[in-house]
Amino acid sequence: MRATTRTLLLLLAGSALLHTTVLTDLYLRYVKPGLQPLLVASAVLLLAAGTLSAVRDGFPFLSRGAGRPGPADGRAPAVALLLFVPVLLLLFAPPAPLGVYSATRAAPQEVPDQSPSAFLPLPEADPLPLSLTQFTARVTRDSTGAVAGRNVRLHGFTVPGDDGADYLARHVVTCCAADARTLRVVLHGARGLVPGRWVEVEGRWRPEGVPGTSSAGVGLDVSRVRTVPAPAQPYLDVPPAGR
Amino acid sequence: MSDGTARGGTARGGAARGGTARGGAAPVRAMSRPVLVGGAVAGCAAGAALLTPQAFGTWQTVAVSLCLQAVPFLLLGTLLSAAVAVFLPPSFFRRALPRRPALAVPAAGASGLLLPGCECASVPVASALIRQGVPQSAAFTFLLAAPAVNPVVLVSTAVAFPDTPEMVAARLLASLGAAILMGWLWLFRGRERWLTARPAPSCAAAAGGGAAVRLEAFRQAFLHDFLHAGGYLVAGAMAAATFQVAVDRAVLDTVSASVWAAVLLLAGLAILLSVCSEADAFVAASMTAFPATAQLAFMVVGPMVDVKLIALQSGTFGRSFAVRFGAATAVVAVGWASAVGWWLL
Repeated sequence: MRATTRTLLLLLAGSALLHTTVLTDLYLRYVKPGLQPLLVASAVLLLAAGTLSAVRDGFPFLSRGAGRPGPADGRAPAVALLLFVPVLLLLFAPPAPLGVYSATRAAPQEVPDQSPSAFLPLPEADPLPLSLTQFTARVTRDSTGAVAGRNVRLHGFTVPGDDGADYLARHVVTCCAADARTLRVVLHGARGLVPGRWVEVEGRWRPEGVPGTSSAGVGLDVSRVRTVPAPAQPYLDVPPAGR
Repeated sequence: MSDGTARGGTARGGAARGGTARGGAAPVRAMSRPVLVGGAVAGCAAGAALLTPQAFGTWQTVAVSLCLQAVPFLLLGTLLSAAVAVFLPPSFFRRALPRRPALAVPAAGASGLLLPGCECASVPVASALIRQGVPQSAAFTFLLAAPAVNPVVLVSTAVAFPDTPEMVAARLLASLGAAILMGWLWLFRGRERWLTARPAPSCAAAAGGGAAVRLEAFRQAFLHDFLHAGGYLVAGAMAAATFQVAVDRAVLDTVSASVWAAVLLLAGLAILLSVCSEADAFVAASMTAFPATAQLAFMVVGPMVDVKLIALQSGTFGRSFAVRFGAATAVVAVGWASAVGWWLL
């Protein structure tokens, strides 16, 4: 890789990071929100390094003598060309957030990490907004069965199951999308759902198994489905906002 | 007729091999490595593209996520590494570490406790330490320990396993122990000739220079290390994304075999999935169908050996090192994690 190509790569990489973190919220599709300051700092560093390189080593096609073989120092190893792949993807064709494909292939039901003693009485609201984490925890960990009979409202995207059932799903991310875990709730009696569409669902827990144990089925008898826009933070599992 | 050609071919092959034994070895290796990496990348991309558009989309998301997540830490690591190489006198580490390498190894392991870094940062730093005359065994122990036992990782483990606080102690003991064992193993069985990658240019030349020379050397060393490691990072992220798309995690929960099979399965999964060490505790905790020892093995092996790291290490230290060191580390980490898990969990 020539020194001038190196300049181009550094400037493009810095712009891509700036584009995904400051100009748009694209980074939330890939990493946790807390990484933003570090990504912005990286963008600034890369742009500074790129500008310095443009001054010292020149810019492709523009600089006089750009093609001349410089000192061995200025040449980057050829493997660095691979960096153009994620950089150009982020700039011109940012990949979509994780969705239906990974949700159908995740483990069927993953109990969220929550201590069984941490359950307070449920608020009186009707319908009661809950995150999928809260709903799953209430069903499989809360032995008082407080969620039974309550009309709840959940927010997620719809996923067709292998068994013909429909699911409401969310991905939860700790660090980046590579460590995503999936929460799924069975939607009983919902018709005409479009896979991958973000919805708010109202309904009651379908009593299956013993509440507070892993035998309890995480499912909802659906009374109402409303299509909503996709959230800005796709991996942040929070209760739906009140209307 | 065929006899003659065959013998001629053999003779030529033999001569060529003899000729490359000394002077030609480096160019051959320099040629073959980009070809190999390029082939692997093309293979991954082709494999992913053959799948459904949805699978290919997921592949892109995962690969970009792994790169994006690693970039700040890789920058930090290469900045540190370039600074160490250009500004710190070699005598610094000779004074800071115990003189005997056998003692320097545990000291290096313990220093990993203090540095909150990701595995992507520790590879360039370990390489800079070696260039500055730190014993290789100590540098490799640091390389393995720093991402596995730093405070951020231990806290996230405690959060992920609220009901089993002994998991944090088990992780600390198992990771630190495996890193130290690997350092000692390198001390007694390691071979310098496995380390084939060339050091970044111009660091040595700058040692006696003035401020301007040193700053320019710092810039060149940083850019070289970052772009070099970054290229390998992308290759590793693509490979890990391929495995993430290929492995159907729903299958995992149906496996209810012996503890040994579970340990080996999760250790293998840790190598393929390349989850970052700050997050792997949450992934391990979500695999509720597996015994605690297998979850421990997942968290001990992951930060030390995985597809992304093997790619980064072959860029920094050379392929023949990365393969041997990765295999040995996997065996030591699985064995030691099983022993600690059997004792504590």
